[in-house]
Amino acid sequence: MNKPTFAPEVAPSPNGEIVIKADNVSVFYGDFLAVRDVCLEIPKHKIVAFIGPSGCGKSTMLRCFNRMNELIPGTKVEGKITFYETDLYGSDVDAISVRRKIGMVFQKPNPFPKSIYNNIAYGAWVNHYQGDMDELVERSLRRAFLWDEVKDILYQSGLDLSGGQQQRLCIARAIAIEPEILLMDEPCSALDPISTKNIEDLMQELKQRYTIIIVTHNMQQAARISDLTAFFNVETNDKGDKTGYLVEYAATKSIFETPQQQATLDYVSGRFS
Amino acid sequence: MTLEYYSNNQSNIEFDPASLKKNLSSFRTLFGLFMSGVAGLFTFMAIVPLFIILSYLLSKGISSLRLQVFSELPPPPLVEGGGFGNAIIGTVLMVGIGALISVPIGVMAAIYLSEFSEGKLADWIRFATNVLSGVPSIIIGVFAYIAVVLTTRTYSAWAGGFALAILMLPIIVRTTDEALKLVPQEVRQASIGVGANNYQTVLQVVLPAAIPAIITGVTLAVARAAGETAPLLFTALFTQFWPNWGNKLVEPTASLAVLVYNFAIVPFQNQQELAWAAAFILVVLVLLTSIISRIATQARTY
Ligand SMILES: Nc1ncnc2c1ncn2[C@@H]1O[C@H](COP(=O)(O)OP(=O)(O)OP(=O)(O)O)[C@@H](O)[C@H]1O
Ligand SMILES: [Mg+2]
Repeated sequence: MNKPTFAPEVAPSPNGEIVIKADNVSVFYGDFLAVRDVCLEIPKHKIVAFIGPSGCGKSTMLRCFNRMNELIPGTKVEGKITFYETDLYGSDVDAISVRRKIGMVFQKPNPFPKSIYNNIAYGAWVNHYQGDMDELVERSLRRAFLWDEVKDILYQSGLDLSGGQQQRLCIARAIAIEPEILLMDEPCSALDPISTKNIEDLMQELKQRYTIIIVTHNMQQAARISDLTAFFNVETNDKGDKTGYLVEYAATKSIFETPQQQATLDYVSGRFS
Repeated sequence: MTLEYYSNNQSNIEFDPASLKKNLSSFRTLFGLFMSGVAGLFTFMAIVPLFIILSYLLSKGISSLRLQVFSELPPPPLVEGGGFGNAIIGTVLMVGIGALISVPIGVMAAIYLSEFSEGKLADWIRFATNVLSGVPSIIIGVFAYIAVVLTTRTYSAWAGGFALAILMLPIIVRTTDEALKLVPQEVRQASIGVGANNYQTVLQVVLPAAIPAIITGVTLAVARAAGETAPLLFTALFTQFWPNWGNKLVEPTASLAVLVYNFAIVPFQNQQELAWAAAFILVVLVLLTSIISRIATQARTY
């Protein structure tokens, strides 16, 4: 395997502002404990990568941050997740407002069956956006580096675009509502290398304004784009249930070069069983 | 690493170029050809009845198929001419009433089933709609007779529309339910993900994605209802006259299906020929509905 190239060095910014803090978070699907005891802090305007073997709960953790897990019946979140100072799961917190602040891009591009224009405008519309809609659509598409490709076909269906364009449309849709955080669950796994590169470049741009948490199976990608990396692993208990947990969370450089845990070293060097 | 694996193994593989040639006499090829032939034949047999019925109706009804059939009233026995304009109006009216009642209720019910209910209750409702769609239409007619005709003490287009609505309801619920289930879960999540609530998600995203399939379902239901005779015999009856709009449809109302039924069994040739013509028009109406819905639903969804 090639030696990964590294993003510019950053410390887990002890003095930087913390946007999200997970404190002893465990997630259950019914009785099944999917992830346990996760503690981590996400600093503002950084890209944080979640890596780890399949089934270790990366997507599960990610969905906790915008309460998307609530759409799955029987899901239970224990522990505390704070967004700035607010307890995300507090009884007075509205899940819809949370999702408005913490946007999500999914693994499979999933544009609405609407025109490109309305794909963007929909989010603004449900959030009672008062400003100039044309301007918002253009600005969001520009930020997603999609404007030049679609400016003449704004009223065609979003489903007519290529997979890579659809994914950038989904990113444009997510940033149109000006969230604080973008959650991305393997956003490039359905895309070709060129679309992937486009989206990686895009993320570097977006980092100026948004905090990004990305789940990826591509270790080079994590190394290339992220500032911090969290490595999750699974362990099997005596009853055969698999539970994910956070092994190590540090600056990407140190996760890939000087990991503190043997499991991390094994995983990032491809010696994982 | 992977490359090595392949090159190590290459020496073991004996490649025979002849193995790629088509072998026309092999059992697999012959069996494939045979099955394609059988499937093609059966497909042909499935569409043949439509063309036989259409041409048969046309050949029988053509003699009385004049423009006046749209503008004139059913004639008495042995009188030449006449038409069934009132029956066309009646059919369109009653199917329209049926659709106006059953489409909103059916679509809403399906939305509830697929989007908001879970488990046992939904299963029971689905089961009940299936049972309803199996109830013979004559029984639905009797029910509408008791429920509407007896209580209002008169036959009416409303009663006919009501009976047709009950007939259409399960078809609409079922097709809409299926259509909604085909909309991928990710799209709902995407909508929730930009801060929409459930109701916005369903109305703005899920429903539009399912519209083509829903319209197909409505068309099916309309086609089915337009041809039903039994429920109308008990509820709308028939009339030789134009609708009197002053009565607000509370009066016996003619329909194509009942006209065909009435005129096909009488011994008078002029009326029999009109019955053929009416049958032809009925089938054409249904065909037109299907074609229009096809054109209307070409937008791309999932
Ligand atoms: N909707 C669900 N209902 C029940 N169990 C679930 C559900 N989603 C995930 N799980 C379980 O939770 C555990 C973690 O799943 P999750 O999808 O978070 O893993 P992941 O790390 O994202 O894996 P992958 O890399 O394959 O996407 C798995 O054991 C999985 O079977
Ligand atoms: Mg996942």
